[in-house]
Amino acid sequence: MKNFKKIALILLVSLLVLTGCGGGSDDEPEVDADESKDYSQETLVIWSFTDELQTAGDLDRFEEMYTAPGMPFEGLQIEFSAIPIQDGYMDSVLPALSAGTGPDVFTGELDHIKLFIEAGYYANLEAMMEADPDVDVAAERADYLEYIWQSGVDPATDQLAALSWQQTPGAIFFKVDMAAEIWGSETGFPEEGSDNYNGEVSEWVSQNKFNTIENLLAAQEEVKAANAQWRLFPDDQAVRFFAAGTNNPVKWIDDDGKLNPEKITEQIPYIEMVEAMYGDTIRESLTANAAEWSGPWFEAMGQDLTDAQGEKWQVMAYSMPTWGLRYIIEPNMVKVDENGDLLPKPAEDADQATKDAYEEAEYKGNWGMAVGPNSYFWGGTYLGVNADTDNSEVAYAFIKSMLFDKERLAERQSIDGDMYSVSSVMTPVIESYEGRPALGGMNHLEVFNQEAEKIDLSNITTYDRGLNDLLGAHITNFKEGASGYDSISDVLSKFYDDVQVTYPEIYVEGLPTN
Amino acid sequence: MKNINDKAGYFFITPFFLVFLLFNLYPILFTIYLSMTRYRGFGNMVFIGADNFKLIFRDPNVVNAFMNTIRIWGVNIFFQIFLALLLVMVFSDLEYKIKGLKFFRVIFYLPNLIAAATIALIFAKLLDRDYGVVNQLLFSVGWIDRSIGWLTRPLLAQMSVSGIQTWMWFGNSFILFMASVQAVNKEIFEAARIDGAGRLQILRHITLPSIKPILMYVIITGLIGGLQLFDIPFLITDGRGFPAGSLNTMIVYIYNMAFTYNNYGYASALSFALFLLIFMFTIIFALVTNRVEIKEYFRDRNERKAMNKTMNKAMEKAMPGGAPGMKGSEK
Repeated sequence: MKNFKKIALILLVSLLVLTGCGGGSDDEPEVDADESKDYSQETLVIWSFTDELQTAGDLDRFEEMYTAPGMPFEGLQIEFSAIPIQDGYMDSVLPALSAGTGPDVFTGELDHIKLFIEAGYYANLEAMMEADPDVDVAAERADYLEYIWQSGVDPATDQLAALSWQQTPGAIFFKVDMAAEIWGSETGFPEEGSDNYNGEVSEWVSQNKFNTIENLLAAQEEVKAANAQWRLFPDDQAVRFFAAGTNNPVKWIDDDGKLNPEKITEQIPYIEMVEAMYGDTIRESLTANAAEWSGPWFEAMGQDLTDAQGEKWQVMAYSMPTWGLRYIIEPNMVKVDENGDLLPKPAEDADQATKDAYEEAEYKGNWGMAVGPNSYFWGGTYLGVNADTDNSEVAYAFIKSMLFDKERLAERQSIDGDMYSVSSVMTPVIESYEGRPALGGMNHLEVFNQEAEKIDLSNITTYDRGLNDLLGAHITNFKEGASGYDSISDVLSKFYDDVQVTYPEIYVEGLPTN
Repeated sequence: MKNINDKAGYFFITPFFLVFLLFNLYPILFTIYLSMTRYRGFGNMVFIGADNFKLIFRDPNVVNAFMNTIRIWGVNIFFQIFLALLLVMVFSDLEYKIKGLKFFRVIFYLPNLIAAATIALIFAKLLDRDYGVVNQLLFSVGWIDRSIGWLTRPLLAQMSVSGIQTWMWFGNSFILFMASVQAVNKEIFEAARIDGAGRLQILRHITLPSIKPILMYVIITGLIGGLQLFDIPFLITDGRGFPAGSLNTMIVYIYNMAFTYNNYGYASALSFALFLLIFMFTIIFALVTNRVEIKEYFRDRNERKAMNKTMNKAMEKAMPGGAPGMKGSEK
């Protein structure tokens, strides 16, 4: 009897193990491992401009799935380097890629990947996907957000070279109570009391005040007129995303590879708006003259600003993308106690209990999220495989673990609450979302998703960043009344002079000067 | 044995030459090559000959950047030396007998030890037009009724950067000058005092001549460093030379051309042109400041030549057949 029990137990355990293994093998990804390689002698080198791949557990996950004992790349080492952009990520990665000693997998923002793709540094990711029986390219394309897929396509081959799991559309976050005080008496302004009050106000503001460049400028004047100490934006950098003013922007470079005159014309209303916003003093300005990322810029999110003269100012709105809400605005928002009274932010040296109590306290919930004249995005981390790598099968497996494992993406999203670029992950999340407390319970994910769908990046080129930067410098000189900048015509003439020097290959005669 | 020792010498100097070749000569030569290409930091380098150099003469930003650099450097070097000399006068004055020279040396040199990024950040906060501490103080004492744009008005921004540079570097000049003055025998200063020389006379006739080599060193290294001015102008505003391009120094312009706009070819041509400019300035400066010594050298040489000529003529007259030895050697 004893032996029978033993045998039965062994059989049961064996069955469970076998069943378990069987289940596991079904879930195991298809891997094109190279039989001739001893993977314990190989290293997968990954470079990124953020440490997110490490902190979010992506590297651990890859190790668990691919390099742990019994897994296809057993014993493989992972070498991960995070080099922030301001510490010279591009200055490190470009020479390495150029010399053929670059990492197997490397990340980039949109501007960077455009450059990587044009230089041929990224391998054809789509070809790798097609060779993988686990991946249905057409289904993935349908599942991924159009602008994200579009961003990573190599125009030379029309094939995908890089892709991102994130979407980073932007919006205008604003204080709902200030909006109500300024525009509350206008026709159609939502009545306070509904569950989705912040959402309704956001929609009204989007449709009536922020929908065109002209209205955006008028809104700033109205805020100032309503209260001389209030300003809509901290500074004019907040409107730079709306330079095109349309969701069908003209491209900087035309089909002949030259500077597009229509793009210049498109920028003129924006230049006029920036000039109108500027003032030498805050009193004269339509903004609070608080430069982006400066101390006052952060402070104005949660408190009044005091200028050098001792005057107090309040800022109403900030242009920020998905990550801006979580990492920039929310940490600076006002919080309240159980009675609804404002809770002061604990000092740096406050005891842990006070800090914890503040951390757990609720937001006042007086912020809304509107959209501007056009949709925009800011940031995003794209991944791609080095075209010169000797470990393409491993590099691709890492990309696959990051981008095509939907269960993992859903798990990741549930932890970080971020906006993902995959419809199958985001649709259920958006449908079941209960709203963001900081935004008074508004379903901001839905708005972000709608905005992301309107973004068209098919016309982006590697010149865009440089051209925007060059023009931006002259717009700043013009608004500040620098010598030699009397009109928009001067701005454009000087911009063309710079283009002739910086990018002579795209300059063409006969560009508009007004 | 002697032969082996001679060869061992080459072995010991090899590391320097290897480092020099790898980290100095190769980058210089590669920059020259890059300056004759169109290169965006990736892909192929297209050889375009001297086009980038021709472009320098058509680019209005080059002249502006050069003038900005000279203005910022000029004001800085003047006040840097003036302040250092003033302190040298005070600390070397036999009447004042100021104690704690070591302490003051450290205090004056301290700004030089702080990272440029930190200094830029501190001064950007202090000098902010709308929220800065300096304007806040000026308002509080009632000296101004309108914010001063220390970093938003072109000339003021340049002078602010010059001021910061002076603050960073006067201590360095002071230490060098002071070391030079301390090497002079005290009795000379005492004798001058007894003879009734005033402070300015002592400065002109004793202090300045005694520190002249160091003064020249400070000015020349200041010129080389000044023409390569980058960190504070780059960090204190937005890195694009605002306001109105007034902080767009030569190196800021070159940096942006290469790393913001990816025009590595033109940036290399500008770098090489700047190298030639610094070289030319250094030569001119050395010639001008050492003109007395140079004149003396040429005068001595001419005198020696004239004397030799006279002696030769005299010898020829005395010995019409010439010196026997000379003839032999000529054969």
